[in-house]
Amino acid sequence: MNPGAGYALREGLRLLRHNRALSSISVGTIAVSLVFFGVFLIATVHLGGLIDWFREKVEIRVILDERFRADDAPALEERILSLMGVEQATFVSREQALEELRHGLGEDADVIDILDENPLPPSFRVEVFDAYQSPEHMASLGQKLSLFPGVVEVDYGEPWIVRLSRMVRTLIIVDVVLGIIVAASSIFVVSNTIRLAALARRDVIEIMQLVGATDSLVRSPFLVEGSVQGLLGGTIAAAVTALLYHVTISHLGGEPAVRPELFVLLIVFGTVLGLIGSGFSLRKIV
Amino acid sequence: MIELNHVHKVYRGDWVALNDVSFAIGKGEFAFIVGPSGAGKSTLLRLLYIEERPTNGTVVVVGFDTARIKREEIPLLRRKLGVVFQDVKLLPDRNAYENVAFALEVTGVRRSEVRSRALDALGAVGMRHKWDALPYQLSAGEQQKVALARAIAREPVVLLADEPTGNIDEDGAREIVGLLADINARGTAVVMATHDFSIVEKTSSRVIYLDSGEIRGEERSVGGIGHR
Repeated sequence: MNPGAGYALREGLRLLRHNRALSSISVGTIAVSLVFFGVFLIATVHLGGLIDWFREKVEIRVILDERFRADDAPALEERILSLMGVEQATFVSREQALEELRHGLGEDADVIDILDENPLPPSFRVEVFDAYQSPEHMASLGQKLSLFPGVVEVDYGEPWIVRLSRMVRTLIIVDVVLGIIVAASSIFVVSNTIRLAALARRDVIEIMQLVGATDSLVRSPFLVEGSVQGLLGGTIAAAVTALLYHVTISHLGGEPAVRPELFVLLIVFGTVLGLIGSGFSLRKIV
Repeated sequence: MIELNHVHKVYRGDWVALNDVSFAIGKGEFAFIVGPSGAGKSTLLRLLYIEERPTNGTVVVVGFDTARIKREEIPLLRRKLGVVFQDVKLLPDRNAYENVAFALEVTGVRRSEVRSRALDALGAVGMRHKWDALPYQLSAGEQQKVALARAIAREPVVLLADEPTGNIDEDGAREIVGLLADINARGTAVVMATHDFSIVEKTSSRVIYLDSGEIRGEERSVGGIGHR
């Protein structure tokens, strides 16, 4: 190892031991901030996943007039298919609809027999290409479909998708804002801890400068101290977040959607914040 | 080795610490700078190890012109100097050996060499037997000797001593001056600032008198430091 790096590491860890109480506050603050950040990131990933799941299920239900004749279906199908973004259009006759309902009810299908006549209208099931599933395009498609002759109602689950998309968008903004707050507060705390450490070791700094140590070597132990604080804070945050996530998933069920890289990201983020914080505090001292 | 030309140092716009100071100190020379407190001795030494820069005039130290030296070159200059102060500036949580070794470690001396060089330096000031004593366990004179060991461990070309005997009794002071003479005899130029006229009365070295930031006179004798 390069003698400078060895010195930086040795003295940095010595500083960390000396300032145990102060360093713990720094580490704790970084850890708590990053846990919040991690939880929000995970929520974003999951909600994003939920939207994708919903989108896969997206289909437009075009309800037709009761008197719509099956003979007219191929002509309407052609018109529907001509619309932009439509992948497939399937005609569902009144009888088919009833059959599907019977299938869906399973053991309770008997209730259908009570009915005098089939109450279900004929309909078209319209599937849309993934790329055209934005709330805006779905709305415009819905409007065009409603103008076709024989169409009574168009149902495309719009409010859900829109609400979810808005939520994800809001969450991403919250993530960014939270990320900035976490970064600023961590940098602030680390820089103050390191500033105090550096002031307490003014004698060492003075001697080093006097005997001809380079500025980078004078700074290095403090940078090590700050980075290690960030590393520890990030690691604790990653562990706590991973544990919380594991517990939540096993209670609520479902597939984990978060990749392990997210936890590594928390550790790296913590370390970088520690490094920046300590660099910040040394500008005026060394 | 050291050359000052018409050096002025003014603080806060109007407080003149040094006024038109010029002198030169050659290789291996021993010079005292003597004057009362506030005469500008410390300022003068601070200019030599570039803790301060002159307001006017030029200071050249071991080939570095302080007007032109870049910030990153200052450590290179300081590695050729040794500096000791009245308040010894030893690190209180490290023993004598560690204090000396620290100065070597942080200036890029290989770890395998640090040990022998630090112990040699302690030996040169007669403190090798107290290598593991912490500063508070040493007398003021002993602490100054350890500080001297730290200053000479890198075998500097010039040793700057700012009131090194200020906190020490007369016998101790004589011992420190004797050590400086030994160091000088091995080829290191020594510049010692002191307010204690009694020290220079007994020497035959060069003496520069400083008062109110100006050179008031100079005595030069031949043959380095010695007792008249």
